[in-house]
Amino acid sequence: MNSNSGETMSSEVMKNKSGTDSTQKVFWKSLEEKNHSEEFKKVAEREFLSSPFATEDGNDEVARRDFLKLMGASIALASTACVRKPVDRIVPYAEHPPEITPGVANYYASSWAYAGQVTGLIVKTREGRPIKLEGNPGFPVNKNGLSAAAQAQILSLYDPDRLQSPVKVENGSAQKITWDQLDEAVTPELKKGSVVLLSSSLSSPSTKQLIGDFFQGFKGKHVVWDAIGADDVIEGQKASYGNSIVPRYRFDRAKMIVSFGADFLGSWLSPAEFSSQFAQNRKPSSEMNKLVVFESMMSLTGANSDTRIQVKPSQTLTAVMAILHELIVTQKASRYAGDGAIQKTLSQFSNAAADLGVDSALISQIAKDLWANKGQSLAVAGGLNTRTKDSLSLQVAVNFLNSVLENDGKTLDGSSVPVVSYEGSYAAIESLIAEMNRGDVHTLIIHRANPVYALADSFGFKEALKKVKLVIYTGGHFDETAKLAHYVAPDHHHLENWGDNESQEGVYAIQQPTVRPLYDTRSLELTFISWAYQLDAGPARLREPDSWLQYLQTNWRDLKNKLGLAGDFESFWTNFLRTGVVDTSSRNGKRSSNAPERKFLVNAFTSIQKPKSDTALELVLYTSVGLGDGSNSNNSWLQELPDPITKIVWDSYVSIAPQTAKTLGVKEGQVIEITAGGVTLKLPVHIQPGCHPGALAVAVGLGRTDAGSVGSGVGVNAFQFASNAVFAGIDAKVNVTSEKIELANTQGHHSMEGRQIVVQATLKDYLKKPDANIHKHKMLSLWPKHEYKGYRWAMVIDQSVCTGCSACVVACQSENNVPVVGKKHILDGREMHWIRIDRYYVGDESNPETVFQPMLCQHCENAPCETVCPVLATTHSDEGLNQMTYNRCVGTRYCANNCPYKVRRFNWFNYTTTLKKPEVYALNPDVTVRSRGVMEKCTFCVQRIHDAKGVAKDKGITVKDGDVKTACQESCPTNAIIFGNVNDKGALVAKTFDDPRAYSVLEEFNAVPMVKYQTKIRNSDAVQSDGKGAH
Amino acid sequence: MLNLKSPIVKLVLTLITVGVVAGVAYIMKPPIGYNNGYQPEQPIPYDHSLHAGKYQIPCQYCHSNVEKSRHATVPSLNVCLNCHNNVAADRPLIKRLKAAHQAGESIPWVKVHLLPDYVKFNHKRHIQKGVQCTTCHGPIEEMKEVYQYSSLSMGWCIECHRRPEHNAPISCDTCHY
Repeated sequence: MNSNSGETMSSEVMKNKSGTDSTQKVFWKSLEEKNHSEEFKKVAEREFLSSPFATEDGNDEVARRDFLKLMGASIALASTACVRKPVDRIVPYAEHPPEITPGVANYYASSWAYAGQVTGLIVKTREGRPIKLEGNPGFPVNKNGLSAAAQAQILSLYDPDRLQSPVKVENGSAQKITWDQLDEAVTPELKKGSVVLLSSSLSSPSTKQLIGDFFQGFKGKHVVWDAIGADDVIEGQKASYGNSIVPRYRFDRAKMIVSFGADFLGSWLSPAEFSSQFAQNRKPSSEMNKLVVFESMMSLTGANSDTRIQVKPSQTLTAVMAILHELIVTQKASRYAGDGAIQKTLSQFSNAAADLGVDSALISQIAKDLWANKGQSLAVAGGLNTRTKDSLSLQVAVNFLNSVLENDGKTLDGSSVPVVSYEGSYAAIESLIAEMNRGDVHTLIIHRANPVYALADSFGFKEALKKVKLVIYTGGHFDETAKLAHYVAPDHHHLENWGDNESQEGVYAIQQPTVRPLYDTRSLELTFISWAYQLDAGPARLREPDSWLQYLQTNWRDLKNKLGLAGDFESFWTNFLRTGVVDTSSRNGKRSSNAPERKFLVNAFTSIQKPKSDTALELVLYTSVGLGDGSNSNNSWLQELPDPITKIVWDSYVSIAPQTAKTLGVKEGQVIEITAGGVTLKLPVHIQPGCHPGALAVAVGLGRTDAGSVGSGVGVNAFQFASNAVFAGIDAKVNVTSEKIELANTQGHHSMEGRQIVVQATLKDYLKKPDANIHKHKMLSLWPKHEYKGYRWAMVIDQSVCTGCSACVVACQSENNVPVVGKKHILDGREMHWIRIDRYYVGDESNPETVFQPMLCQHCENAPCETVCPVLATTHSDEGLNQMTYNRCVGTRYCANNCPYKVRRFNWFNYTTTLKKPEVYALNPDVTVRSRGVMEKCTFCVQRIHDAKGVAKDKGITVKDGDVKTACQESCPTNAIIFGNVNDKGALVAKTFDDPRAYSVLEEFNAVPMVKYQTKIRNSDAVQSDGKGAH
Repeated sequence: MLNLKSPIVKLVLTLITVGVVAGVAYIMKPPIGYNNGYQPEQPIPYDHSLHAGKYQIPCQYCHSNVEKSRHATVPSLNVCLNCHNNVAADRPLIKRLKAAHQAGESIPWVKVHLLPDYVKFNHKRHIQKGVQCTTCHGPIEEMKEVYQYSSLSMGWCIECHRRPEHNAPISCDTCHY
């Protein structure tokens, strides 16, 4: 070992370990591990997380005898079964579509928009059915990055619970009808006027125009509401600058970012885009950005911060004011320093640091850093977890902070290329409910929104709905809102429908159908065109088209001219379909240069009053990374996606601080009754390190009653707490019960026994010494080395830019046919994900640092799994891959036991047989579907390697760097994953492999992994580190 | 009464069991489970010896994807009708074919060469390397009805891949993934 590095590390450890018990590990995965609890020891010592013979009471013996009996019987049966030639059919096309070659994938550009968030897509199709979604690198918003929720849309297309025809609703049950019957019933009512279309934000300019045309023919209006939208930001912008927009945030230009509760890396507005921008300056260098987060609950953004400060939900505003007070009053910085009115407003917050319980030196340092980076810093706030009563004041204060720091126009663009896709507001639906109650609404059409689920009962939507003569719902499922409607006119899935979406001003994406509608559904647009035609109402361009595509194309003929795009329409349209993108924002460098600075309306700021914050416990609702507003709740990939922070699946829970748990005397999983916002709900407790002691955090999006066979009855609907559209800082009373629910948490599984696994260092140390804190071993090997004459595949994962967003987990699931197992099997430790994101906490349990480590098969050079396989089912390929041959595997599971990285997964059951038609169409035909009794694991997407090699061989060349992208790598918004051929010395992966910051996990085992990790570098003064490792 | 504990009875029973197992094994003769010679009845008795033999239509006229895809693919009905719109258009089976095409329906051919799902065979690669169709599929031009010529067992694949002059990969993940 390098003695020099040893010295620096031990001093680092000394510094950081001061005050903590020396027997405690610095890195820990769960509180049980940290505290060496009895339960943890039991689990860690057990050879198998779950026994194949385990019966309900955990007693193996009887079951083992039964097993032997069964075993004997099955041998007897197998030997008497006759050998049968399997009969399979080949059914060719009657008329071959020229664009399809069976066995070869086609790719189409498309997009997905929901509630204002627009995502550019590349859809991979095989024989006319979509099987995988990727980000569209040409779309400037999300680029190649694709969030977990967007990835999972492929499964929602094949959801067997989708409505297959229009229905008439009678007493809450569905009666199948035809579209003609629906039209016949609806059209006479439409003529009577007072028609309202209630929808979430529709970002399609053509759909919006069509709706405008529709309301020319039928008296009524369009009301827009998003359960989770951006109305807090829009209102704040309006009050501060006078324009109702969402600015375009430019995290890539910010050196210093302060987030006040905005979870921009996880769930806020456009996480894939923000993550990509954030990561651009996150690679460790002297230019590395710094992220400070003030928040109440532990969010993904907080987990990625350099400095994380816990505040009560109601004190988020105080935190902004503390910094403003420090900047303007104490440090007398900025052009507002001499303004009396501002000083007066700020004087209310002169003791803010003390109110927050934060060291005033820290606030002062943050203010100094911000001022030093003026014009290159960015303050953000927003999302459900900041929507307290004072949400508007918070937005105004944050806008003011940006104006003080001269950021407006530089790191956020509110005038040049703003975001135009968000329109929804709670104010709109509140006034709609009032109108409905007055009987002013005759016909209500509800499109892409589920207000019966996502509005608290206290809004009175359900009662108001009874006063509407005709309610038509266009959702795809017979869900909560459908049950209270009169007719359901199911819309196409977005992968079946045409459309266009505008995200930022001038940034358009085509929405191209990639499959013929699976069922007898009809798009809202065609429904409107049909009704207008049947009643001869509205302008000619609405009545005349035969299809929605025709309307769309007509509209684009106009738009093309308006946008000043050259050329004839046909070639323009073909090009639009091919690239998927029309971007006029890049013209004359408009997108990349500074926008004009807007004038801040000081009056909005000077009216801010100090918020009251005297409640002991406050409830804070938040948006989870996977499930969002609950519209994806019937998607099993997202239900089984471990939450990036808590790692819990398939349930609702309330996160509370360890300290609060102690005060309340509750344990993990114990059920408590929470009374807040006028309702009482029961939730199991999850003890969450880093949560503010005064906060109770609950995710929305669960507790659907009529989501479908997957999502119904999972968890509790936390939207019920949100009366008056207040989602955070809700005064809460807690009643502890004796009930207990076992939460399915994946992070306790697969423990690596506290060796050097994650390494982190400060930027300062890194700049001095790039391999800071990495403990190197001198290795001797008994094994002869493998020879690699051609390719040698390897991967490097940068923990500094990995945000833990989990997009890769779902990408891998979709690409590799990874089955979903359900809560019961997760509790047994039988999750099947080939890539998991290990979340490690470091240090103090009240506010730990967090490191994310994507863990997948390491494709070891001296793979421990290969040597123990008795049937040679897992072997080493001549390209360095650790191959898994399913048909050879007899399921001894020796390999999984011998794997130090715990990445091998065993098929305890035939999980795929639980797939219902048409879910099977989501399977990737290039990857074998594994059956019971077979071990499986990450293959480095060997099917993609084969594809790339095939393309190269066709050209007579070798695979070049960047030709093969694994599914996880492709979807990663921060490009934290690099994959390629290390034998190609020019390849990025080869260079990164030898980077001093790269290390092997558990190097001392001498397995020589072909996946290396780069140290997590934090831009802070000190980090917790386990230095020499715990061994 | 037969004494099951008597060593002679035990021996006799064992011998009978062994005999039955051996007999079954003989009847099923190796290679068990491989389907060489498998010749299923097709919905339309398409005659390869006529098309590929007598008229010498190249294989790739119908199996046109064989050099583009991992599947050789059975031709779609419109390919059959390229000729049969005029040729032998009055025969009942051709009429059936035409009717199916007009109705947009297909002909459910019975698959002769069936590989398990966990084997990924790529026609394109082999054709590009210059492997003849007949190397694996046998004398197709003489078959009135197609049967499986080779065993298509793993040993049969490997035997060819292992030959040094072929320079073919033999890693497991060449075919299994």
